[in-house]
Amino acid sequence: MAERLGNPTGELSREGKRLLVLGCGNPLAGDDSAGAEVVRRLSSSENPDCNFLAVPFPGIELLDVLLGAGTVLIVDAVASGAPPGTLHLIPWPASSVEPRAVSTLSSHGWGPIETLKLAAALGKTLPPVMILGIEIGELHLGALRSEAVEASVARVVERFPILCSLLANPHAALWDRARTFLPEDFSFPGE
Amino acid sequence: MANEGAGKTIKVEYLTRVEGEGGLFIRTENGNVRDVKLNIFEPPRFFEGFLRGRHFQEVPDITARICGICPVAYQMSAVHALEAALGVTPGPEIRLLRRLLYCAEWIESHALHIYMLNAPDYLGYESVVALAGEHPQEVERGLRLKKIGNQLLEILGGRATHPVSACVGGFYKVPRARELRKLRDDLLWGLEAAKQTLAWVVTFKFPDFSPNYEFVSVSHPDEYPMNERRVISSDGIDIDPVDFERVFLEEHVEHSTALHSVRADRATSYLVGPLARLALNFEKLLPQAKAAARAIVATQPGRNPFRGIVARAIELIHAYEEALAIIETYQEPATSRVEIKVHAGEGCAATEAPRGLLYHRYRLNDRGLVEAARIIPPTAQNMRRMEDDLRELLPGIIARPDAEIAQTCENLIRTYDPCISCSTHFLKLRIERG
Repeated sequence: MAERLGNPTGELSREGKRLLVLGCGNPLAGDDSAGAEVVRRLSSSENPDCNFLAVPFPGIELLDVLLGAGTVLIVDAVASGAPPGTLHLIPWPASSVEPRAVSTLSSHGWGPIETLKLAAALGKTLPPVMILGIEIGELHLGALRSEAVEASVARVVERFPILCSLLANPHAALWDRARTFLPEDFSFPGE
Repeated sequence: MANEGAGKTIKVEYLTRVEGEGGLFIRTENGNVRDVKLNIFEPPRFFEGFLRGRHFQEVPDITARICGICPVAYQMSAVHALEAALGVTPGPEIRLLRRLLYCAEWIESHALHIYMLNAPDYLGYESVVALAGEHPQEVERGLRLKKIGNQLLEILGGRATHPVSACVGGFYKVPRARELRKLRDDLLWGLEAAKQTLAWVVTFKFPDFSPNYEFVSVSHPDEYPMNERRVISSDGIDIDPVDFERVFLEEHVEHSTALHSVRADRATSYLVGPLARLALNFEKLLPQAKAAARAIVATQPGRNPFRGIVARAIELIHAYEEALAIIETYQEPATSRVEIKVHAGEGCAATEAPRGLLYHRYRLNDRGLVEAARIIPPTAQNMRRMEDDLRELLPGIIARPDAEIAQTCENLIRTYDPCISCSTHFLKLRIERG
């Protein structure tokens, strides 16, 4: 299930150069909503270089969306054991990222990582994909986002122009390896 | 999983590749099955409660939100039940468009279940991702089959998930004929691809298992059942939907937030869904679907739940065939919806969601506000039957390793394509103290 925000993604396939930002997560499930919230805030202002798409419950249809994009940034909640609010920038493919465990927050146990893996299994050529993971704390239906995640959401939104320009540069260092930014580390998204 | 002397407990904490939250508990003693429970711990949804006080025209858009896979069935069951309450009968063009809406939903739901959720079980893969690695052509076919259903639903309903065009009395907006006919080539491709799907799934190896089901489905004198009319069973039930709650009873069981349905007169389980529809309505399949089904006579699904995938493939052909026939002859109706005179009333309807019969009943006051709502989803109706199936299946496999037993049971449950999120709701509890 996807909810369009900003410009329709159809423009991506025609232009092929723009950044598609996917915000994943259940908006009613506390910190799981981090990705969707980032996209909601970013899409409130016009951005000629980016398209924003909220995908609260990513389905298999996401495959077509990914294949039609120029560069993709997937913003989603992650759980690695790091302190809540930690930000992870992970270029895809990445063996460190596993699909979400089956939980009350997913439908049919399907998500963006499964979609990326399906694309690979089918031999599809994906555009460059970066995963921006926001480490979760509270994860209950009806819960509010934790303070730590709320601060990280705000940081991502504030630093998004820098991230955007780095993602547009295929030689930027952030494409080389996964990086982690602890909550007290304000250097996100790096150089 | 744990072995305790002569007794054995098998737990599947989370059922995978099903919609919603459920687990399975099995207890045996001295090789005998003592206890089988489908634990449904998905939180109850309370839709029937928060529909109360809503205007009748809000109901279809609210009930569509019950399910992301089968919103049309929830929307249209509500529409039909409310039209019965208000004495409204839309014209034949609207009726055809509604069948087209069902075709779209059956296409996307059946393609999803066949290719993404169920086929990996029979071919020995843990998921569709693993399946895609070795059977990319088939998975690509499944993805396109599903996508066409989504596109059809988007044209008809305004969007592919939780469509917004249907209303009591008709549609807020009907599609242009040229919009629908743009899909003609895709639907023609889909019809052939659906036949290939059937040819593919009948090559799977299915466990030999045929419980003595009572099949229950909607029945129409001239059509394969989708959105009306009576409710029939293989044991002779033939009722108007107004008698549904007299003939079938919902019970609360401690281990499930989904109610269990049984026949009221003898407390027995029954089966709804593609196997039941096909068994009770085979002759009403459209010609190409019927011919394709007859051609595989040796592998007819019959009463084997594991062959439910074969029934779905036959219905996939039917849905494509009917969708094509409708768009070929479609003419935009002069008015998209009939006028409604609001009055107090009560009405019900039974329609066929991809997973089986779905019953709705509503009581309206003289301002058209909902006073009472009742929704009986297909997965809740099948819940008792699933447990009965497991009780019948287990004695034949109980000597096998625990992991294999768990896998076989999980496969069996997945054949039902259970939509657990849709099925969870609680009975209202009233305590009288003397």
